[in-house]
Amino acid sequence: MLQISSRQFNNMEKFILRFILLFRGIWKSLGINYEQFKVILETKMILENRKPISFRKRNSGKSSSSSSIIQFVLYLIFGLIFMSIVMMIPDRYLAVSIMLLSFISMLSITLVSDFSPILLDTRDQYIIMPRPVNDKTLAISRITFIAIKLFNQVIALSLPVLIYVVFNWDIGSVFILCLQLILSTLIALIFVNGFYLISIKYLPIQKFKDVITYIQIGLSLVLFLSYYIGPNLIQSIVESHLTMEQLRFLWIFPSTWIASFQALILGNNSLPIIVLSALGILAPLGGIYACSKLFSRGFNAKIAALANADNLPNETSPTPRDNTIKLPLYKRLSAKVCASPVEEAGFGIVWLISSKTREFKQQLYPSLAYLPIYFVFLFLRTGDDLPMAGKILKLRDSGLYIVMFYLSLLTILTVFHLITQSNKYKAAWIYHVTPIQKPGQLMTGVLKACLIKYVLPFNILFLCICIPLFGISSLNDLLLSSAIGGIESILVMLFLVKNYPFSKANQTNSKTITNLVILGLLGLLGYLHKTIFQYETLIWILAGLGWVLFFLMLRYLKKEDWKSLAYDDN
Amino acid sequence: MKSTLPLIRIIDLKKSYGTKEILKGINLDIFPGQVIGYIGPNGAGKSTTVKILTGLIEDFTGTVEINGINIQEDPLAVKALLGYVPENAELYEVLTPMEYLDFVGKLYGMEDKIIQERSLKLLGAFGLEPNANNRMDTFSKGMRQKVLLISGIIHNPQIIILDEPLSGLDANAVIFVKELISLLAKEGKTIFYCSHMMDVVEKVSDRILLINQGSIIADGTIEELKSDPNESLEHIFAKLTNSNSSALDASNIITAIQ
Repeated sequence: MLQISSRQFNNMEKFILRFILLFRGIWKSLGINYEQFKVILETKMILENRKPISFRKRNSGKSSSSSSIIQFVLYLIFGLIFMSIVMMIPDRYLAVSIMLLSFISMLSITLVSDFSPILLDTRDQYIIMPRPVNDKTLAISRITFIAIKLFNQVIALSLPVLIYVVFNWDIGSVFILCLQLILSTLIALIFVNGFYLISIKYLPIQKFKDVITYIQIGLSLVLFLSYYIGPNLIQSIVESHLTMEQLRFLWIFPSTWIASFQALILGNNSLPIIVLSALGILAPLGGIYACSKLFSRGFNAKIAALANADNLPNETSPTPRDNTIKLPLYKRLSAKVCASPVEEAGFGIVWLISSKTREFKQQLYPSLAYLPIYFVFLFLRTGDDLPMAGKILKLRDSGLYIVMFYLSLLTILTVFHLITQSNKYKAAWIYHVTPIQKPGQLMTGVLKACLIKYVLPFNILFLCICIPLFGISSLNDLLLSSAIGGIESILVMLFLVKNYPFSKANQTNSKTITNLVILGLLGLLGYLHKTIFQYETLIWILAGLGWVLFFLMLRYLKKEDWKSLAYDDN
Repeated sequence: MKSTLPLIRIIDLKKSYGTKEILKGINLDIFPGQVIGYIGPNGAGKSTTVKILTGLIEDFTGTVEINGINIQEDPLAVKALLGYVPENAELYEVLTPMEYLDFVGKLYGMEDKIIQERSLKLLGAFGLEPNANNRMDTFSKGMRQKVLLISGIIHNPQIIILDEPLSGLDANAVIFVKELISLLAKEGKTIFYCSHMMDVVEKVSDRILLINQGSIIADGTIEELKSDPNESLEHIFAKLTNSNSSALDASNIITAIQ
């Protein structure tokens, strides 16, 4: 029997698990093998908590729950935002309804993004399914495991608001709020379930996984947007003393139905409130009934099939394409910009794997997508009351648009951080058995692929936007900032990239301070650039110098030995 | 077939991890065209030898010369002569075979056109032509193994080091690879074949090296190793490596689960 020390997982989760395991009789009456259920949950919890540490080579021995604590703190911060909603909006009904709306959205986001990997975990197929564990035990263990993680989050998200209301509201309202939070959690669960059921029914498996990826990206953008819009929105609600009556569109959201209890307890017994409150109770209950039926029937089998499908050999394939007809884009590009086969290898591997790996896209695209949003906000925020033409004029005269160029350079950091990582990092043995004369050549190819794929498009975009808006004089600014970007990327490559592409297990970023320094430097350069941007000739000269320096450094990079790329024998 | 100059020469090769000595002074001469069957129990030092030969491990004592080149002095020149198919082979599965082979070929400094031609021919010969442009994440284990075998010979190396190359291959593919090994040897390639599959080693190798606890304890053709004509390599292996007190006894297992 597996012995599990109490220190092995996060205290909060351990507590929740203990609590769940108390109801032995209930679990047994559901047809679950309690011993198996217990051991599966405990093992999953250990696995989850050792996740970050197991990737760190040779550092094993002690397990850490720091990542779950960091996550907890992050959710607490969101919880504080929810609390501020309740604090600031005077109409309690409206406040609670907006707070619950944010709460449900937030939970749904994390459910889809964080829990999809757990749900689609293929290891269960090989480790648990061949053992005599019945479907129900496995399905319920999985759901319970997710529920524990979820509950942990719910606590973090709702703790601040609960503390606030305990001191400021009457006890009845507090009690109702607890109930509302539970119901909202259920709504989020039902919502996500529905999403899975519909997606699985109508989408092919690969597409489904892609959809999850894009949802993750999309939702992180929504978060980002709400971060910008949210405060303004709340401010205008507070200033204009809006009430629920004026915001009737909110009635369509389940969060409002649930929030209606607060209106009831405050003595509002109008018909709409009663109807909405009834909906608030019926919707979660109905949803649970529907989902539990669906869960125990087709859902688990489908999820299992889904997890498996990635590994099914696909022998039937379309007829081979004739390779001689047309070279793929990356090959045509690499033939143009690379000087040796090794350089082309570096170029090709980064280009291909970055396009084909879901995890890579998942981590990179959100940070790329922030840029256009920043741009729009920069545009909207400049000269609030001015008409369009005035705004453009102000942006041009202040040189504020240059800030954008430098912001885009931040992507370089993210890209270079990500290209050394891969789930398939073990495949990197090939670098160490092949006769690579100068690793610098390979890395130059890597650098070129990154620049062409992830930096050049932004510069072209800026060119298309800035020249018509701000005139040809913005061209030298763009040239200068891109030269600085090029130099930055070579420096980052030389000093921060210590591994071959896709040769390292995924790690959380441990170079936060270095990144902050680079960020600060870029900010400083951007600021300096902005102060001198009117001296056109000076900018032209600096841009010229920058590009010369960039090409010189590129030459140096090629000759670099890259001692840090040595083989790690384990 | 033997020429006077050895292609691989290992003199007093030692390697330790901390205080544990994995290789305790190995001496070996391997000649062009030989198929070496390198066998030994788990933990005997097989993979360490292979990792040293392929240039993955650089800190060891003793001398390893390949084609007269000292591997510690010029590892790159040695790597260029070698083709390696590792055990538990991993590859970038999101790529297609064509893309992966293109990548590997270029790491060997090959030109695009040659890589394309050879990849297509080799994939065809291994029966993978219809899958040449499919992502390998949909491949079976055997199909991936074939791609790895191709990536080990695409640059036409002089020495081919195969570490359990048959894992995951079906019976037909095993016959095919065995044939391939003997054809490569006829071409003058030197094959260094590590495996636990004694029957295959017995059939394909013309010289068998048995390593146990960091030392080579048997070296010769299968005929030379046999003490009686009916003995199989499996028996020889068991006889030579199972002598210590911690010998495996299958009957203990039966008692344990009863």
